[in-house]
Amino acid sequence: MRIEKIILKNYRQFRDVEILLNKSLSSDLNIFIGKNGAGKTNILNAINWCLYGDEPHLSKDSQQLPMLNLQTIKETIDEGDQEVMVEVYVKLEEERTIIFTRRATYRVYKEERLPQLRNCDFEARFSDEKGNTKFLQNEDAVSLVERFVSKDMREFFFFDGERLDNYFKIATIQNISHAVFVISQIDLLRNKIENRLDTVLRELRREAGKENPKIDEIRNRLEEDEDKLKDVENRIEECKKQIEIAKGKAKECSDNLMRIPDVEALEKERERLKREKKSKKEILDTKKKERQDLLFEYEKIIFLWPAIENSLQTINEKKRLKEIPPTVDRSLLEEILKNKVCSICGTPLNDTSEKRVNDLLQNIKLSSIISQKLLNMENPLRSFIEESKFFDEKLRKINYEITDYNKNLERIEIDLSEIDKKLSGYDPERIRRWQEQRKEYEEIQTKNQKLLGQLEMKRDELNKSIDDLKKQYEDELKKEKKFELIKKQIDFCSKALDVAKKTEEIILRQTREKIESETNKLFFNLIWKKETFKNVEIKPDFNINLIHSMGYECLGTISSAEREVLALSFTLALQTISGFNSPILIDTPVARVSDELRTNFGKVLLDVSTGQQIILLFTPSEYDKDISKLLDPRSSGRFMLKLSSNEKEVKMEVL
Amino acid sequence: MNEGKINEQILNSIKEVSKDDMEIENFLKDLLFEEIEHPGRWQWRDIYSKKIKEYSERWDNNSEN
Repeated sequence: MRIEKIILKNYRQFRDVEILLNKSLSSDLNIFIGKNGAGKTNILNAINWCLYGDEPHLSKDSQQLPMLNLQTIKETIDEGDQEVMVEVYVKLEEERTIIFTRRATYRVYKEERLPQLRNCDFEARFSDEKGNTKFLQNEDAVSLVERFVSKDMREFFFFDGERLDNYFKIATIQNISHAVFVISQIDLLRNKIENRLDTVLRELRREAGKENPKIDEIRNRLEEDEDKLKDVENRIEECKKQIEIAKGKAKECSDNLMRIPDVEALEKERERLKREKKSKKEILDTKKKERQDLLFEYEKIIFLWPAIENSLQTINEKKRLKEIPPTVDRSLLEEILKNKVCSICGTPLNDTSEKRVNDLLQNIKLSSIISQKLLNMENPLRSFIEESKFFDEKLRKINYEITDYNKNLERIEIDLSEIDKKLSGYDPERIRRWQEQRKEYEEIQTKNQKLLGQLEMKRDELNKSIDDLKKQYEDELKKEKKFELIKKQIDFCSKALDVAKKTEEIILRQTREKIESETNKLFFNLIWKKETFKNVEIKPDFNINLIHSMGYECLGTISSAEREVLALSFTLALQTISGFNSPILIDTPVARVSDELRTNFGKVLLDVSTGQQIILLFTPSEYDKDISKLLDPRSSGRFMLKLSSNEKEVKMEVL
Repeated sequence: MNEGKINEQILNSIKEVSKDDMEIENFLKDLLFEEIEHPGRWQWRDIYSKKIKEYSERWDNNSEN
């Protein structure tokens, strides 16, 4: 079946809107785009309200507002009634169309008070085999809806993206098993046929009891035990439910904890890095000090370097000119010339020798003291030069070490910021709470497991006692011929009840296996990662698991997009098995899907739309360039929802 | 449920579990169709009692078990 048309009159932002949902040869995909508040989600609510009489996706803002369109209220001058109407045209596979209409009449007042609901009607109309239009109203119309889109099943057809993402958290095992009960019609067997046969069986037994007190006494005991058994079975069910809830909650906590990094290990690493940072920083400071000292030590050499070089050059030059070391003492020559007598040999100077001494004195530029001083300076100056060679090496080494420590510190900083990034958003208090909650739920599980064991033992005892009493009852009936007919009816009814119960068990098992197989087929057909996952498992208790190719359960750790594909596969599998084939309407389908996976998920939705009616409600930002490029050419209808300037009405533009 | 149809699987399983006990098989199928036809309130008690009488009359006790 598919929804072919929706008419909204005075329903919330939709004052008078008709939505025709087209279908093309290649797809059945209709897209609505609208800003938040433009009424996208209220399309989902309108369908729900029309078919089921409630609005499960109403925003907090809308909850405060009347259902009646605000502009209509504003324009109602005199006190009077106004009608809200939503009409959903459902086309069945054999081309028949059923029109479901829900109307609500509101009294609008002159003064500023909220309109009051006065009346609400639900109606279905369709053409019968002869072409005559048939009308069903209220309860009968509800029954008709139940045949096509059961209220119990709607959560598997109409949902928002958030629900799709949280599907396996919200759709707990109880919901899923309930869905399986509905789609496989097990509920029909269990809640209708078995319960009613049981009631009739008791009545038959009572009838026989009226004729014979002994039979009545056994019947009484039998009924008592049967009531006890029912009670125990209900308690077993409740106990199993509690175990499943606790298991689910504990898993939720574990998934939350799994999603956060190993905080303890990261905290330890963070501490280690901080210690390393501190120690490296200390060494770096020492190295910097060493460099400073080195520079200070060599500062004088560096500062005096030109003077040292000049001095050594001068000394070398003097040596080359043989001026140093001095061969003749200048003061001695001056003394000889003054005394006119040689101070060494005592010979008086003649003209020739005096001239020679004078020439010699002229040639001597430096005094021997200065020469000696120059010579004394030479060694320290050379040692300075020698030392300066080590300075270079020392400075290079120390600079290298400083660079190395700086690099190390930079790496530590990066590692620390990575850890901080990982740890940000996870406050230790919340983590501790999750751990505590998980422990609590695990304890509830253990407690209930113990109770379940006791109850199952009690159930076995009661079953044995019931079998004995049934035998006694039968034996008593056999004793009198007048009970022959009623005994036959009781036996017949008992056997029918037994067959119904065994059938229920078989159907439950087969349905689970079929859903599992279908979900696997769909999931691996739709998912882009073909090698990452091994299979989808639906356990006998309807717990769903996704198994990684490495063999572990990975449902809690997969991406939103992957989880949504699994939820969609499961939903489609439920539809295939149930034969309901209802439209799938998803509000904000990719809002929670990360950018790089949006196109993949878009392709999945396109694939699904080839065989199923898909209605998608997007925000403009969600319907980005990539999604639009992918879906536009294949969609069978696109609509833009625009809120009027006074925000009281929505206009719909067909794109 | 689906357009008034009964899950084929249920019909087949009833046949299988009834083990050729045609009266039981037909009786349960009959009840299923009745339930499908009357999703709302109806006089189920009378119908059930009537059908039990009707089918059990034709029923051969010896085929039981």
